[in-house]
Amino acid sequence: MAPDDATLVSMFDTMALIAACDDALRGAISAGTITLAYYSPRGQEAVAAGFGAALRPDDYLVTTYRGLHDQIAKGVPLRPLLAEMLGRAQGTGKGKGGPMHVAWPDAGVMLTTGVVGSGLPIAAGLAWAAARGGEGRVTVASFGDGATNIGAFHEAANLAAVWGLPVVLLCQNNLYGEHTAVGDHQRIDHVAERAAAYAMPGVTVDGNDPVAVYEAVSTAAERARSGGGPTLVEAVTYRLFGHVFGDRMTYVDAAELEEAWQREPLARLRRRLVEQGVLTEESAGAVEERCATLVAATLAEVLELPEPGADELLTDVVGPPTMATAPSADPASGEGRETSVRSAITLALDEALASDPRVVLLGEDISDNGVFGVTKGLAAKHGVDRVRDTPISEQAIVGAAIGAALGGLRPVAEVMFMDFLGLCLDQLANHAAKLRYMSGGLTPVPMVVRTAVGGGLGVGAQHSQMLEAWLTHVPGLKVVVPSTASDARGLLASCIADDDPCVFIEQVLLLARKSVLDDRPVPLGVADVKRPGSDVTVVSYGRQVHDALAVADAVASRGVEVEVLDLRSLVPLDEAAVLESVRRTRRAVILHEAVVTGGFGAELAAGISEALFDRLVAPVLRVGAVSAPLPYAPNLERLALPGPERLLQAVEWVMAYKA
Amino acid sequence: MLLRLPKIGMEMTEAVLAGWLVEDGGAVAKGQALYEMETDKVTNEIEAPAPGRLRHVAREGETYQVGDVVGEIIER
Repeated sequence: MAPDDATLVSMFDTMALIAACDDALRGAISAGTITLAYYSPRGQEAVAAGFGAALRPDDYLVTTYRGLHDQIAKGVPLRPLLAEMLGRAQGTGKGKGGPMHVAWPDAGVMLTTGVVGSGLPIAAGLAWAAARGGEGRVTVASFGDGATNIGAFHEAANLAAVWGLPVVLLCQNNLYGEHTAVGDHQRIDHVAERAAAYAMPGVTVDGNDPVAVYEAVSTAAERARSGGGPTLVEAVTYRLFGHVFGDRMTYVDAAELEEAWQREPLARLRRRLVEQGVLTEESAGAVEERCATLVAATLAEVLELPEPGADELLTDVVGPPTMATAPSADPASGEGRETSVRSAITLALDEALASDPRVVLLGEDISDNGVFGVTKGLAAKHGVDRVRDTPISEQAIVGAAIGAALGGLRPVAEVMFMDFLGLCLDQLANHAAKLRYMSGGLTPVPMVVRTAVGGGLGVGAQHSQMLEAWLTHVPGLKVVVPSTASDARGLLASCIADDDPCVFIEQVLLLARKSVLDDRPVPLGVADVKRPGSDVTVVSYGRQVHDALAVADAVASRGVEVEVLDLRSLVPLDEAAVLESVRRTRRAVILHEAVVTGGFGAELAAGISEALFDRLVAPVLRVGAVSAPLPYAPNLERLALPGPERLLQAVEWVMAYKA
Repeated sequence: MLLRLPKIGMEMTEAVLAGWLVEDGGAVAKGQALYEMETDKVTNEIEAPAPGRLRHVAREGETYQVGDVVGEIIER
């Protein structure tokens, strides 16, 4: 499908605007008027103009830090775009994201990532949401040749193929991954050959010809819209100003660069359109003049705009608190009955799926009960499209959940074991956690990651570790650890209703524990006194709460009253409840399953000591796992994990402490 | 148009003006290399953001901070 004359002119306009923008920015950086790390897209503008013209305004785009051309072509207005580059309050992200993190949902630009390859799984998730929405939206993931060597590319391409997602994987092959030539970073001749591995069409086109890109992307988008699945389009182009402003391109042969300038796309299209009589020298010149004037005026205007106020520092980290939805009062759901934590989690998922069509589940083997039976029966009841099995691809699972959330769904992803978070931590920590902030609130990520911990099961060091401290250290993530059936159900419902990414931690040894289910909602950030006491506060969460209760029972006969405070959520933390309790008891012991060193207990101990130093009559103690990988042999595992014995010793120690 | 010492690379704070490539008062075209600046990491040629006549402010061999005025282009 060849572009008509109006499309040709519009692509020329887009390319002229990109070039003018690039020219003005490089000029302003050279003159020292502005300072930023600038990744010039000059030379690649035909790719952007081509795909921009081939897409609908409501189609999604995910791009990368060299993304100015893509953002302009997809329709991000110049003023907020330049304002973001300059760190101004009226930028796309209120100046909090910067040029590497532009989002503009009105134009379908959902993500610009600074991490090579990481946008692809997110694009797959957007495509999933779009497919479920049924409006024929296509998602374009734009990335470079360098990104095709990273796992995220392969996980996303495979998921897109397996699920038949409406996504166009658009590789802007500019022949260099940072400073390394493509021939030195991969052995294939064309990036498009990689498509064969995923049984999707792969095409290579001249990326300096917007018409070729327009045609290839139109075909791929049409295929995607009609349910035909993904296509890999490789647009071969060139990066005329190197990797980053100031790159002297010493690694590039001078003749190669000169030849690349001969093929420079803007002048080439101009010549062609003048030859074809679509434009005249005068009308083309007028377009270029108009673009230069517009960019100069906008840049001058933006330079005068205010910086973000200091009050913006802590806004958009998380959204406003969300009211927890009360679990349904349907008697069939099990209120008042002894229910296991496992069944309570299943119930919460079932209720969320039943009450909110936006809720979807994804993970390994979840349609077939899941590894611990938590998702049992859900696929049969709600359909395999909503309880969706994935390949063993943690980056794709979490990335797709992020994309699905950006696309309007409420995904609940399962990462089989918490130890596997290392495989998807970039998605969680760099993307899920930061997208709300970096976009100045435009792209919140309402999603849940459920993950299991096998400590105490005898499954060794790689299936057992509580890693909540990795997560609580990242602003933007919420972290939840239930200890009872009612809490598990209520907290999970709150996580699903919440507008921010929540990690819901399921300790496997807790799953079979039964308690009477009630239907009270459990909001995030509200700790629960599981047993009141006046002498010492044991602050805990998860299955260790039950160890704390056992110790409290044991010492009660000796006249020591232990208050057991169950945090339930670590982020948000109910700091007031912790301090209120310890202010009364004047003694605190923290108990968690995780390794003590650098654990969440350190954060709690510091907070208690800072606030209540004068009140305390004993040092705050921490009880947790020893600093070793969790051993396999049952006797060693018992010694490594904290148990009631060590907690009892700690309680006795603080009770006996004399300053 | 004032020419300030640009920031090139995330960690740059200052540079030595290694040498002018166009004489004081000389005519320059847009994109023409104006001067060389040298940091611990790299030597860069800085190009003219606009055409005009170049006025030197900075002296060769001296160290300047990012944002210091090193010259001016007097546009015609």
